[in-house]
Formats: sequence, structure tokens, C-alpha cells
Amino acid sequence: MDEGLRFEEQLLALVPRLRRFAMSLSRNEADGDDLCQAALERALKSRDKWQPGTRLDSWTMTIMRNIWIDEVRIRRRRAETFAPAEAGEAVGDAGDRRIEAAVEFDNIDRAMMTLPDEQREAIALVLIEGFAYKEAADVLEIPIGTLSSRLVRGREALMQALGEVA
Amino acid sequence: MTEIDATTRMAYVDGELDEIARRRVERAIAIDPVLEEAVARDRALRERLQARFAPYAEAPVPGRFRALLAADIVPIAAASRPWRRGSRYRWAQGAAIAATLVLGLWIGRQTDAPGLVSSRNGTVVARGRLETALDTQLAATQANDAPIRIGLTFRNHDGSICRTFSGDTLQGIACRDNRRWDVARMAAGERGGSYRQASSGALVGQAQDMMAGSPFSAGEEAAARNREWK
Repeated sequence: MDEGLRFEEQLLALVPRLRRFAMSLSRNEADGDDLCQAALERALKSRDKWQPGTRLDSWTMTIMRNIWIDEVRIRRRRAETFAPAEAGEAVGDAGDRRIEAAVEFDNIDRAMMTLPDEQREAIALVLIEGFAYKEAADVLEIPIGTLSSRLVRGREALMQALGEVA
Repeated sequence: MTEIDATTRMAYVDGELDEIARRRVERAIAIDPVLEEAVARDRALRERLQARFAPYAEAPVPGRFRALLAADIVPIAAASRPWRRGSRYRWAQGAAIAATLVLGLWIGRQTDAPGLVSSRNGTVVARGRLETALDTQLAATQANDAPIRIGLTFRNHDGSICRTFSGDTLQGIACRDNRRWDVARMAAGERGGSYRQASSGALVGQAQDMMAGSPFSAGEEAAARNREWK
């Protein structure tokens, strides 16, 4: 990447890929774009921590992935706290979601949604973003062996969900 | 199937094997139709995933991200600190805050201009010099060398008053919303920045799209200012 470009210009050039990664992590476009926005804002704020000459794409995706993991934790906690009390009201909601799911998502989306987050992020980085194992493992801060086994399990689960023999 | 396990097979598809291991897998594929089929399925899955998400990487960058990365942005928390209007201290403080947050862009090129807009929940609002210009300047009477120049004033389809503006680093359209100016359209300015999304002509075109009725006359513009742009 051209180091003469301003930091913001380099980030802008990365936005298409950052959006793609955000979309593959999250479950719908609105969440994906909010995640992308949050990652860009944090990247701008933390720009002092980025070392020029290192890869800005994996640095920003690390930021994005960490924000996403935090978000997932918060949602999970919220769901645990509120789900029993709201179970009655949520019935209609779940129905709406099913209809939306049937209309909006194609098989791949549904298959991706069946994956645990740790497998989905590995699949997203390597199969969709095209990162090498080493780079993806760095983003996820896990050993390569762990990444590799998550890729195997994730792929097998995807194929099963897609109705193909794994 | 041969002795090639799933991990090795997938690493092969992902291009992660060294030369020797790769040849070993290829030799096994040549004699093992089951393995060959499994590799084809792995490749197909990769392609299917890529095809599903490729449109996001090929789509134009949405305006909200352009705005975030191409403008003078200072968080609203800093922007809403009380200024001592008109004093030199105000500018010094503005520059200091912007530099501290390292969010004020073009600071190097434009040392006298702290952020012109802030972002909150995806809405971009005018602040500082831009807000003052939108509040007070009339197209008919503004100085020729005003740092921010106001173009058209008009009502949009929601009935809010909107004004086009252009400065060195930023141009766009702002609409009045509850004593604030929401920046509805924004692009790099005529003389600054390297992203020239909208020429003045494009800005006028966008204003026309948003406009209900005609642009304000000088008299209507002045009357609207007296009513505080309601």
C-alpha cells in the first residue's frame, strides 16, 4: 500500500473489504454496517497504535473482530437476562424472523448462521477474505493449529447445513 | 479414501501446503476419485462463499463511511464543550482538542480550521465555523472571501430549511433540525482534499432533488434567518 497516502485514505480504500468482513461476521446488513462504522471510528482513534509498514487491513480487521466479540457477549448476556420475562411477547417476533429468514437469506447465509462464532470468523478470514493461515491466526490471536481445526470443523458444518456430504 | 486427512486436504485447497506436501496430495488425487471429489467440494464451497460476499467488496463505499473518513470530524462530546465565542482562545482550544483526538483531519494543511462537523449515531451535524456560517451568513451579503460560502437556501420535502455550503475542505447541504444543522450531503471542498465527489454543479443538482418549491430569494433568506431558520 502506498505509504504516501493519508491514514484516512488508506482506510477508505479498505472499506469495501472491511464491509465484506463485517457482513460475514454479523447476521444482517444493518448490523454489518454498524460494525464497520464502529471499527473505522476505533481505528481512527487508535491510529497511533498502528505501525506504518505493517498491514493495515489485518490491523483494522482485528479491531473489527474484537468489537464484534464484545457485541456478541453483550447480546448474549442481555438475552440471558431478559429472555424468560419476555418469552411471551417474543412469540410473534420469532414468527416474523422466520418469515424474514425464509425470504431474505439464501442457503449460504443460513448455513453461516449455524456456525459458532469462532468457526465463522475463521471461515470468513481464510475462505472469504483470502488471508493466509498465519495472518488469520494473528488476527484471531490463536495458534495456527487451532485455526486449522476450526476451518475443518467449520467447513464440515457448512457442507452439512448446505445438504452436501461432509 | 487415501491417507490424506481433512486438515491436509483443506490446507491444500487453501494454498497452504509446501511444494512437497502439495505434490503428495496431487498424486493421491490422481488415483483416488473420492479424494478428488472431496477437493472439488471444498473448492466449490470456497467459491460459493466468495460469490455470496463479493458484492459488498464491489459496491461503492456508502456515504456514511466516506463522510467519516473524508471530513473534519471531531466527536460530539468535544464539539459540545462551551466555547468562548469569538475569542482567539476558542480557536486554540479547538485545534488542541482536534489534535489530541487525532481526528481532526487536514490539520497539517489547514491549521486555522478545527472540525467543521461532528458525528453522532450516524448523523453528521455542523459545528464551529460551519455552524456559524449556516446560522448567520446570507448569500446576498456574505464576503467574497468568506471561508465558508453559502449558496442556495430552500425548503426540503419535509418542510425543513436547507442550505448549500462550500469551503476549502468541505462542501455539502445542511438541513435545520431542532436548532442544529444536520449535514445531509457532504463532499470534499473545492480546493482541499483528494476526494472530489461532488462539483458545485453536482451539489446544485442534489439540492434540486431535495427541494420542495424554489430556492429562497434574498428577502426570504433574510426573513428565514430572523425566524431562526424555523
